[in-house]
Amino acid sequence: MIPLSIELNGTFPRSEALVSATRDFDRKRIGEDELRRILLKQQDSLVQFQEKLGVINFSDGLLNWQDLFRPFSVFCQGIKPVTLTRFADTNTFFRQPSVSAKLQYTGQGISDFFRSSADKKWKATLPAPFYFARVAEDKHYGSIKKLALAFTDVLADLIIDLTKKSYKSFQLIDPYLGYWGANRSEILLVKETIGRLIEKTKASIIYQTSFNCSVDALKMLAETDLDGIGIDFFNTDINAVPSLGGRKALSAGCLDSRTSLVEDPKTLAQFIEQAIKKIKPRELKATANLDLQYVPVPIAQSKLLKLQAAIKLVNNKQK
Amino acid sequence: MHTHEIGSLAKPEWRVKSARGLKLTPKDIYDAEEWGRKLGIDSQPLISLLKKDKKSSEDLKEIRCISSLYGLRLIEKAGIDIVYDGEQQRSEMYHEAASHTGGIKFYGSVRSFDNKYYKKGACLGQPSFIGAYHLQEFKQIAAMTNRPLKVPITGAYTFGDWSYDEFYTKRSFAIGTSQGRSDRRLARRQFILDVARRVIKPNIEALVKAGATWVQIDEPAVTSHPEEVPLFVESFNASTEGIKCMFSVHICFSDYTKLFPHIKKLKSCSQYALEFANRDSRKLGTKDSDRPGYQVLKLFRQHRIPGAIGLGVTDIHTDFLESPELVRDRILYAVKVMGDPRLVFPTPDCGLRTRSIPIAFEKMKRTVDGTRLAEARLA
Repeated sequence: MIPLSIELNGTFPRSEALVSATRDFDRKRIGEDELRRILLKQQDSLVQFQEKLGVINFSDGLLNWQDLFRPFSVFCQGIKPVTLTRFADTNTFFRQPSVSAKLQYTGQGISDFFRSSADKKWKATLPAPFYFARVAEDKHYGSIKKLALAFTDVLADLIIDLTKKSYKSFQLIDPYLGYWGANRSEILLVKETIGRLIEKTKASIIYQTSFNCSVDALKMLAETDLDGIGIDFFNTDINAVPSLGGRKALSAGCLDSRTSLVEDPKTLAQFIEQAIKKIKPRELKATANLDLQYVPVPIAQSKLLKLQAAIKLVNNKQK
Repeated sequence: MHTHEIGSLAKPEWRVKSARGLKLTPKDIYDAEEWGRKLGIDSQPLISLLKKDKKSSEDLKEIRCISSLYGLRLIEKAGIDIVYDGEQQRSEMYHEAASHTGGIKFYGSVRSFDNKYYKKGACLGQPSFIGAYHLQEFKQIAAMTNRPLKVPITGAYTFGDWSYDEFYTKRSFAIGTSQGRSDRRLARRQFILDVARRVIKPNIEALVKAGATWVQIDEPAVTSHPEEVPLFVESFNASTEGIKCMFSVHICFSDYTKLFPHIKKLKSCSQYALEFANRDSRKLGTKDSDRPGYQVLKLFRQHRIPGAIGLGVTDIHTDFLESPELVRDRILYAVKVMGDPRLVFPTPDCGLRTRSIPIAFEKMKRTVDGTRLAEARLA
């Protein structure tokens, strides 16, 4: 019987209360303490919701991250957020990270961005080195490879720190491979960063791709020592995914985070069965194809509850 | 050279709090008086309304209308030639259009960036026109000024891209297959073209009938799906077909290289208002290396795209105040590339709603001051 679970992918949507609070904070109607109180309240509620879903590796939802790179300008020297840049084909923007000096992890303020508690296993969501290197403005290293490897070392230090704080699983986000694509040498660079990161940290790492990842890139990921690979099944044909031969976890993006349509548990269950049969993962972590922040909280919750129902259907059949 | 703004300005606290039923502070009242004084507006009627404990819906309408006057006068005082009101009566560019469209239901807020959000609607039935949603606002503003007006409206492509679709996209679309992707694309095209024909076009027709001579179609989403730029072109043409009016398009924070060559097929677009300053250097100069943010202008020349450029010369996402000399050099560079100053309309990069009112004013003023410097240099 293949173990099945649910995991949150990337950033969770902010509640209407947190949306209001962040707006009020920007307009100086409330102070930092009040904003933090409302943030913690939504984090608590998200943790409770994950408990209800039976999640094993908990996410704090990245609710106070302004984008996937911004916290690195706090706990890593050499990075500054600059130009507002559209993320792929979404109506969401991030500040392009600008690298103007040697990257140096400091660890300063990481507890502001990574919630933890000893009673749970936590999962951290982080930008993959290749993704970082491709979108950053490089004023220091002079090559994608040097920058990617330098950022890999920053991630390694961060992961080692987080491992001491009950973080057991690390999800590296890489939409670049799927959306913009990568040539042969870039795919090899991705492989090199993964190898280096695992060698330095010995951590359990899932490489979460999104959009339509090439067969070559997926094959490469399947050959690494990653704990698992993540795939966006709204943009990737299941037949293009190599067999994992029971060695790796599959983080299966089978909820469409770009639509308010809530998936049907039967359709989801059929897909999960098909993915198990065709891809042969060691375990399957069902998730959304991208961050659920693209839908409001009630829809995100409905989708996850349908996923939970789908997993029950598959588990019942597996028994 | 004529300057214009792009669209939104921040709404004053007295406007926001009144709409939300919140208590106004003495500072809010002071701001209304102070800005009224600076802009030459008799603020007493507004102050009387703001001081009312209970405001009727008529009072709130009046406050919104006065807010338009403040926005308009601010833009005029900065010296901008072609004006509007900073979208003071609208909620937000997408919400305003979607909330006045049949078949759309709102689910909640979605983040755009940082602490900026928009309310996202879902299409539950075929979109329908339920009234010209900018008409009243246009008539009020037209009565307030003698300067030429440019009416910004949300375009069909962005409307469709920023909405969820539960009507054209069917629930049964498959997971993990290329057929599912292709079905979703076809559904999306039908949705966007229906918005163009059934919602945007009748709205424009009503504005033109009321005297609008320049409509700016806002399409910030255009290049977010590069393969769909032809669909944007199709929807723009469907929205404007047969209407006698000057049309322009505003696109921002996008990869403009994806527009080419498709925009050659736009049938009635007289101007492309784009954001450039956000991606430019802050040093003075008119050489290629001085102006990295404006290199894409060359593609307009290479592809022989007819029409002018609305040239973003001030970055709307920072409080950094561009010097008139920096604005001048950005304009001079653009004139050099475009080959004709009449093809360059200096503007801020985008709507200035994320900036405070004093900063927005300064940015518009520097747009104008820099334009005058450029004109002097060209003369």
